[in-house]
Amino acid sequence: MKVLYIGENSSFFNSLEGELLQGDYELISTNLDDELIPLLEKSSLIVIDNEFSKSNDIDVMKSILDWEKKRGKKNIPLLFVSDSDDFEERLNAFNSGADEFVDKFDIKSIHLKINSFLRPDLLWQGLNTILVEDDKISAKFISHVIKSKGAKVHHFLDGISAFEYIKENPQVDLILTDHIMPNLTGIAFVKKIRNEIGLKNVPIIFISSVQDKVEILEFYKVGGNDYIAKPLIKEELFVKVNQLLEIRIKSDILKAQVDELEKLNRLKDQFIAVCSHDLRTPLNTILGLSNNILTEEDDVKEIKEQVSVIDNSATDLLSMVNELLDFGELQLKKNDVELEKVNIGEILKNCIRKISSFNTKHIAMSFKCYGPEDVFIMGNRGMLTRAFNNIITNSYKFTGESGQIRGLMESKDGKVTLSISDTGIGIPDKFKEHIFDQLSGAGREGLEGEKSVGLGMSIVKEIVDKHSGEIELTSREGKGTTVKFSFNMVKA
Amino acid sequence: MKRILFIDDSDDNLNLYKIYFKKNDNLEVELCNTPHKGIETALNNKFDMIFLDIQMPELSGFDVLKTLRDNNIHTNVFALTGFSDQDTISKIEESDFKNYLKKPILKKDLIRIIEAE
Repeated sequence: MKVLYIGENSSFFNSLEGELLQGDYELISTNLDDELIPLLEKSSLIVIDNEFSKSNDIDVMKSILDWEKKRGKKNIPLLFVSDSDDFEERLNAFNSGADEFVDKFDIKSIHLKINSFLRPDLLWQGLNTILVEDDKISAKFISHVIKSKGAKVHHFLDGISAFEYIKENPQVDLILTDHIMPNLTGIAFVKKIRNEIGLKNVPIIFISSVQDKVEILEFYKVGGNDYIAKPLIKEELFVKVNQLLEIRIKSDILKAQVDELEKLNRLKDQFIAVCSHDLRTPLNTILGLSNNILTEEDDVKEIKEQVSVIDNSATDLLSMVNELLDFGELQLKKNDVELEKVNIGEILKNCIRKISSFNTKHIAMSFKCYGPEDVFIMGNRGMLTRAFNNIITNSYKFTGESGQIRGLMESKDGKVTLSISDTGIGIPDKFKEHIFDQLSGAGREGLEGEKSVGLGMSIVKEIVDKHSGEIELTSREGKGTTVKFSFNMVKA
Repeated sequence: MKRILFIDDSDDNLNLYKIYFKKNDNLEVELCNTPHKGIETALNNKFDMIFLDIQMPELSGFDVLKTLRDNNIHTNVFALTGFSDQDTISKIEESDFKNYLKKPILKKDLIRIIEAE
């Protein structure tokens, strides 16, 4: 099934495309440069980018609603996605015809919402439920309702066998239990599940023909979540199960987000510690020597020498600060990268030209091209320049006198590959595996003592990811390093 | 002639101290850029005072001091610290350092300490 994305955020598109592919959905997109109607005809659901819709002159919603009216068929679901959870925006969206309004970064929730519209039979896909019911007819009915939405059902005729199973397989998303059963009553069973196995969070629904209020209260006391009376009504079962399962799904998603945030928080702390230490070092020299010159030093020759050292330290400091700013900027622009058609060969050539101009190490620099010289990709000129510069600067830092740095470009089958190879000192194996991680071998000093905070490679990887490209690094200690970029080409 | 040892894992810092004492003929300055080289040098030579960087990832200034004392080196040791938070300062004051200096280390502060010894 095709889902249409109306918007311009390419990194959002990429993330959603990947997620939806797992659900067998194909995500197509338009920024309204193309004809909207043919795309609407092909699609089962539309995802509208709230930020895009607001900034655009064309009234997207009107076009869609007009088309729906004309074709007279059932309305196509319209899902709004937004950066902000502003109440007014939400209200506006729903007033203009939205069926749903979801956080743009909650890719999994978007997938779930799409499922709820397009694949109701998959609503509970992947969920594991336990049914403890000795009445085979009720059991059959309940199993059927739950299986019809894609969940798995394990049926047990009594509490003891269910308990034994759950002990071995605690990955359970929902339990439904009767009360009057042989061996173990429903209430005792729930007590065992909550206390002996310690499953405090699994939702438990109590099904019973007994209307005894005292008993129902007892059930809630031992930790049950909800109660359905027999004779069972399909809709009631569905709604109650759905509510409990949705909470469970949401809390799983939240937990994953919290884990991610904790990881980022630790990284941030590590980051601050590394940077403040590294940044302080050049300042020691700058302040120490400045103070010396101001208070004591009279010899002009000495002063000049010391100022030269100050100048070097200030330059080191600047390059570290630039690295940090680049990294910060990339993090900020995480979801809004402007891509345009760029001549990728030109960008690489310019980077090589630039470093050639202050090549004091007499390193031989070249650029060769196999195939057409003018190759275009959808890219951000500034970022690509930064990425290539980072790699070339590294090559320069770690290659000795009279070494070589070679740029190469090859295009084949709609893909263009650019590589930068050097005959430098190479990268030790222990660093290679995590070379693109942040703060990996945090800041190796260059051959002439050049300083860094160690972010360069992770910045390059982020840029490549934003261009939906690939990057590969090969290196041998003592021989040299090659970094290979590949991107999808577009027509001139 | 006073003999002074600097132990600091940053070559930039050692270079700074070298520049400070370049024209001072009354001082003989030795520079070590790893804590282990520093310990070895201190054990095999006599110094009038030792300046020790605290924040060294390989082995902290505190550990170096302990090693020296355990090996009967009773030379006066001064801490050079990049961190001036209360915990670090307290720890320095509780250890066997004669005194400490906060970074950035200024020439006049070093001279003041050296002349007082």
